Amino acid sequence: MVSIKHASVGFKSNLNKSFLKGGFLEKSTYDQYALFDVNLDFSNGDRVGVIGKNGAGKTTFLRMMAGIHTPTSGKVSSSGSISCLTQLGLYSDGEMSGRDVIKLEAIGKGLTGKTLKEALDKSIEWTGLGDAIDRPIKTYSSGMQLRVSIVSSTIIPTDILLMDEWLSVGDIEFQEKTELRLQSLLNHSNIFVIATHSMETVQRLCNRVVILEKGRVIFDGSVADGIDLYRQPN
Amino acid sequence: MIELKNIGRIYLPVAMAFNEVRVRYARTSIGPWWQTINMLVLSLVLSFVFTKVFDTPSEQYIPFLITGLIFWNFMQAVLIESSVCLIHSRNLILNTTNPIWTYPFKLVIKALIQFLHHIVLIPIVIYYFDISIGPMAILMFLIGIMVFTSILVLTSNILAILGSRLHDLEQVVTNIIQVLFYATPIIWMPSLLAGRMSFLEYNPFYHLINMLRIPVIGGDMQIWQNSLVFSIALLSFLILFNYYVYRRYSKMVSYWV
Repeated sequence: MVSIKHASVGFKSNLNKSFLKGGFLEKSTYDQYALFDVNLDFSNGDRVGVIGKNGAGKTTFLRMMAGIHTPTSGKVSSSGSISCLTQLGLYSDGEMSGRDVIKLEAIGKGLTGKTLKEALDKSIEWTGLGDAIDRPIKTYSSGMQLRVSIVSSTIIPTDILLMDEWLSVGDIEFQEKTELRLQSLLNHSNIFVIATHSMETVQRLCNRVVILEKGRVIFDGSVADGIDLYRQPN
Repeated sequence: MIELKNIGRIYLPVAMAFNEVRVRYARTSIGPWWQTINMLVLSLVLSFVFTKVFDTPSEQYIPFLITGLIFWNFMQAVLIESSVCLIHSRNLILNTTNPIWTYPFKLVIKALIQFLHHIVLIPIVIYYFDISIGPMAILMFLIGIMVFTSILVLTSNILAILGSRLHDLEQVVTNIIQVLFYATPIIWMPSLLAGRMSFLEYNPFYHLINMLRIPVIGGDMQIWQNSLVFSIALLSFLILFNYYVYRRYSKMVSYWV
C-alpha cells in the first residue's frame, strides 16, 4: 500500500543566492515546484502508468514514492519492500567482474548469506556468460554488459516495483528473455508503477493511468480514458 | 544516525569499500601495499633530514614520525573526501533507497583497509628499535583506535551531508588539514617546544594522535589520559551534532547532490 497526501516537492530557483542570504532550504520560500499537492492512494493489484510530457515530474514522482525524495510538504507512507528501477549499471566499474557487479547490487538490495549465494548463482546462470562472468566487464561486448545490468537490477522481486520506462533492449532473443524476466518480477509485485511515454506499454501492462502536467496530477482513472485525454491536442 | 531497521545494510558499504580498493589497484602487483611502501620511503627520507635538522636521535624520531604519519594519513583520507563523497555518489543516491550514511561510511572503511596495511610498519618499528610494549599498551591502543574510528565515522557523516549543500566545504577542509599537519606534532616533536606547549592543548588533532601514539612508542600516561578524555568528550559532542545534522538535513541530500 502506498498513500500520498498533499505531497509537494518545492525548490528555490536560485539555491546559491538564497544561501548567502542565510540558512538552508526553508519551506516558506520555495518559488518552483517539481510536484504540487499530489494526492493518490495505491493498493494491491494496481498497475499504474504515469504519463506526461518531459519535465512533467514523472521521475521525481517515482523517486518520491520510493522514499528517495522526501516531499517538502505533505506525506508519503508505504508498506512493503520497494525497488526503483530507474537506471541500470549503478554499481559497475570497468575493472569489476560481472560477478562482482551482480553481487554488489544484490547486497545493496539487502541479500546476505545463503540467499545472496543462491540469487547470485541463479543470476549468473541467467546471463549465460559462462566463465566470462569473472572477467572485467570492460572486456565485455555491450550485449554482455547489458545482461549483467539487467540481471543485477532485477535480482529479487519486491512488493512495490517502480520503473522509468519498460526495458526493451538488445537483440530479439535477448529482448524476449528480458521480457520474461520483467514479467515475472511484475507478477511477484503487489503494486507496479511505470513512468513511460509509450502508450502501447501502458495498454499492455497497466490497469490505471495517472497523468502529470507541470507537477500536478490532472487525471487519475482508467487506461482508455487516460490515453484519450493525453492524446487530445491542447 | 544509523536507524536500527537499517543496521543490516552495513554490509553494503563494506562490500563497496573492498570493491573500490580492488578496482583502484587492479592489475598492480602488490595493490594497496604500494601506499605502505610510499609511506615508508617518505618516512625514511624525512627521518634522514629531520634527525639532522632537529638533532634528535633516530631511535626516538623514526618511531615518532612513522606512527604520526600512519594515524594522520588515516584521518586525512577520510576527512578530505568526505565533503564530496555524496556528490560523487549522486547516481546511487538518486536511484536507490540506500541510506545516506552508506557513502561516508564506505569512505571510512576504505581508509581503514589502507590503514590496516600501513599498520604493519608499527611492529617492524617496535622490533627494530627494541621498544617494549606490554598488554596494557595494546589495550590502550585498541581503545584509542575504537574512539578514533568512531570520531571519523561521525565527522565523515556530518561533512558529507553539509558538503552536499556547501560545495566550498571541500576546499575549506583541505586547507584546514594542510595547515594542521604542520601545527600538529607529526614531523616535529613536542619536546622542541619546551615550555611553550600550551597552544597544542587546543589542537584536537594533537589529542587524537597522542591517544594512539603514546601506547605504541611510550610517553607520559597523564598526557594519554588527558587526550583520551578530550577525545571521548569530542566523540560525545559529535554524536549529538551528528544526530542533529542527520535528522534535519539527510532528507534534503537527494535534492542537493
